[in-house]
Amino acid sequence: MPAPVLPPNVLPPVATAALTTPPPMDAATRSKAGLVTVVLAGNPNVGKSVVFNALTGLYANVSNFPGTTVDTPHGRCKHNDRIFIQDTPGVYGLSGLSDEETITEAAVLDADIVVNVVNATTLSRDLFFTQQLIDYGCTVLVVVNQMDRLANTQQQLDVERLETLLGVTVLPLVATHAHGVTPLITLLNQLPLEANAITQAGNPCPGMVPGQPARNAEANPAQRMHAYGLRRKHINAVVANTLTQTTPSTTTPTSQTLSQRLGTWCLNPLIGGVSLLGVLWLLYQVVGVWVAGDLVNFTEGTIMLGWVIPPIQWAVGQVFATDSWMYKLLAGEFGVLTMSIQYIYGVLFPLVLGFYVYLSVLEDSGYLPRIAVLSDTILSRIGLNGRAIIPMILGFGCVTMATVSTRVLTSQRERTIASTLLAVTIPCSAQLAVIMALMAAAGGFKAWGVYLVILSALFCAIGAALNLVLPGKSTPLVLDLPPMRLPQLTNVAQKTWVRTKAFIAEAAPLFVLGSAIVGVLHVFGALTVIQHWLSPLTEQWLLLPGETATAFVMGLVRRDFGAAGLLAMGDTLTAAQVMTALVTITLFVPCIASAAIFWKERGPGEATAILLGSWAIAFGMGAIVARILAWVPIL
Amino acid sequence: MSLLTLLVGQTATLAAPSNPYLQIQLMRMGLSEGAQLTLKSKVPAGPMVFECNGTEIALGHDICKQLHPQPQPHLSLT
Ligand SMILES: Nc1nc2c(ncn2[C@@H]2O[C@H](COP(=O)(O)OP(=O)(O)O)[C@@H](O)[C@H]2O)c(=O)[nH]1
Repeated sequence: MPAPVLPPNVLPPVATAALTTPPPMDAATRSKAGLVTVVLAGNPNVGKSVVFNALTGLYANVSNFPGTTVDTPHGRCKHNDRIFIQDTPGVYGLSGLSDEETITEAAVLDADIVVNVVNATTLSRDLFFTQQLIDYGCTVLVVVNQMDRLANTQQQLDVERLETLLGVTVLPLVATHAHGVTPLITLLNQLPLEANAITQAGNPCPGMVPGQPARNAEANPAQRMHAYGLRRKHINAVVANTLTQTTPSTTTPTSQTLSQRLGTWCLNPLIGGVSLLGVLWLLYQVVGVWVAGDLVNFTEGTIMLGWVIPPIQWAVGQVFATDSWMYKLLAGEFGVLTMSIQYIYGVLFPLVLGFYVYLSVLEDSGYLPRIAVLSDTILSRIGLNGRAIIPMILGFGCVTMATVSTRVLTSQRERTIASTLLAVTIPCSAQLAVIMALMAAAGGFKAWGVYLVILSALFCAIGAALNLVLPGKSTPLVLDLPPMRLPQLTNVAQKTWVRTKAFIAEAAPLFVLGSAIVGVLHVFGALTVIQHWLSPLTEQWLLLPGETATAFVMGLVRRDFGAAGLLAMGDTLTAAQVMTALVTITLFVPCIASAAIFWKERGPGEATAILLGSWAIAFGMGAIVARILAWVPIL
Repeated sequence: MSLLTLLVGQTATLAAPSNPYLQIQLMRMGLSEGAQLTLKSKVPAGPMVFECNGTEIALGHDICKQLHPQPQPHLSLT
């Protein structure tokens, strides 16, 4: 197998909107306007997004991967426009252990009413957060979701008893059923009349004073431990009093369901490893070969270059002479109108769509968290944990998208490490297609071997170095594993569509800006000057012909342009030169869009460091590779 | 002896973790002192996957190293 590398194009996971999008107005303004603020809160993966979607008609990401809601969607209730609904990231409690917990804490304290969604099959875990909300003085309505799955476990929940013990209204639901959320809507419809009509203040945990005193107490580490201990005991007792086994559990541990067996298999290093290779290979076939090849040929070649771009050029030509700089700027080789439309709709859109379909299927099936568990061993050595596998896989699609998705990681430190690795070592799908073609010129199998060894070694080395240098420690993996199941078509379709739209909306202006900058440089001859400056570097330092400088500069615009420039020079380069150039161009700079995303996500200082670092590493590594290959002619 | 010594299929009763941060984090998830953990799978030198109260949870190697079963003869084969 020559090409264990993978994939394709674009994609992100999970986070689509900004982490801290503020609601359109603050709580005080809302209540003056006669709006009631309802905040949805709950542990990860309880079904909160399904409830949010049903209430608002908007779409929050529904996925079978714990911790995927990192943005905070909000909107009016579609059944009652006096209700303002705010979603929150899923958390296990309010302890300020992560950004998500801080965001959620602020939101629930601001709420008129907190709709706390809990999972019926994990009550003893979920009710801890419920009790904490009650203790913090929030007005809580508990929604026990996934009642259908509880029935499957031969258990029965005494809802009235639970209401009595917690002192708040408890509503059982199956959110995924057609009208599953109706009882909640009916209840919320009474809300604007009397806030207290639908639930009450709740019973604090024995031994605790609700409201501000409880919050103050928990701000103190020693008292916090005590409070958590009391609460955990209390909740265990509540669950023991409300949940009963309906049939004595005669099921022996051997009678596993298919879903359980699949789940266990995925975690076996051998089966899981092989299946991961299979999943990546298929991803490569579907997105890398079919979408990036055949489909993009059609969308970019036939539709864009054949039908869309010529009329634009013609129209611009009516206004400006075709040799004027305005024409070149608007409709020339790097024209703002032509290049950005061609790239965004002809290339990016089909790739993003394809990648998201694939990712959504993996996500909805429950497979991703298991990959995360398997990869934890390696990732925890470089300051990350298994969760970071998602951005890494996405990076092979589109580094820009993957960088956005590092928002799912727990700490800033992990986000820095992951973004740097993405920027430097992961080739995106746009490059991969051209890289594959060049590999043949560089010697096939052997070339792939050399290339992969260099990149994996750098990946580990950079990760390990950052892990050593950055203050702090990586957070160890604690991950819920949802059951494996067949992906649901509607979930996959909706999720794909929402993410694709969100990504294009986020990336498109950056591409336009990028092509405008390059267009200006080009029209005023600056590109040629830069290439001129770079040529000594490429000739003396990398032992490459001077013209390769053009390919490097093009790589800034679109990473695949760089590799494609090399391809055009193909025959004039030796195998060693192709390898040197490929390694350099892979490491060297992310494209303009991803540079802009680093800026936005990581801040100017860190973004500059990442960019300069990637230049240094690219030219440094390139020089080393060129010299080693000159001594040791293995290619 | 830490949870790392468990074999797949064995059940242990969790002793209180000595690291307060970890204790808080796990307590919220229902893994407090006395929780019954059944080891479902184990990635070599990596995370362990436990079943606890009907759900599966993966804990990183470093966490498992810091967690201990209660000393009693609780390591029962199931
Ligand atoms: N069987 C069943 N599955 C549900 C129910 N509600 C949600 N789910 C599934 O649980 C998973 C997590 O849902 P999601 O809304 O993404 O959870 P969130 O993380 O709380 O937003 C998804 O795969 C849902 O389809 C339910 O009532 N019954």
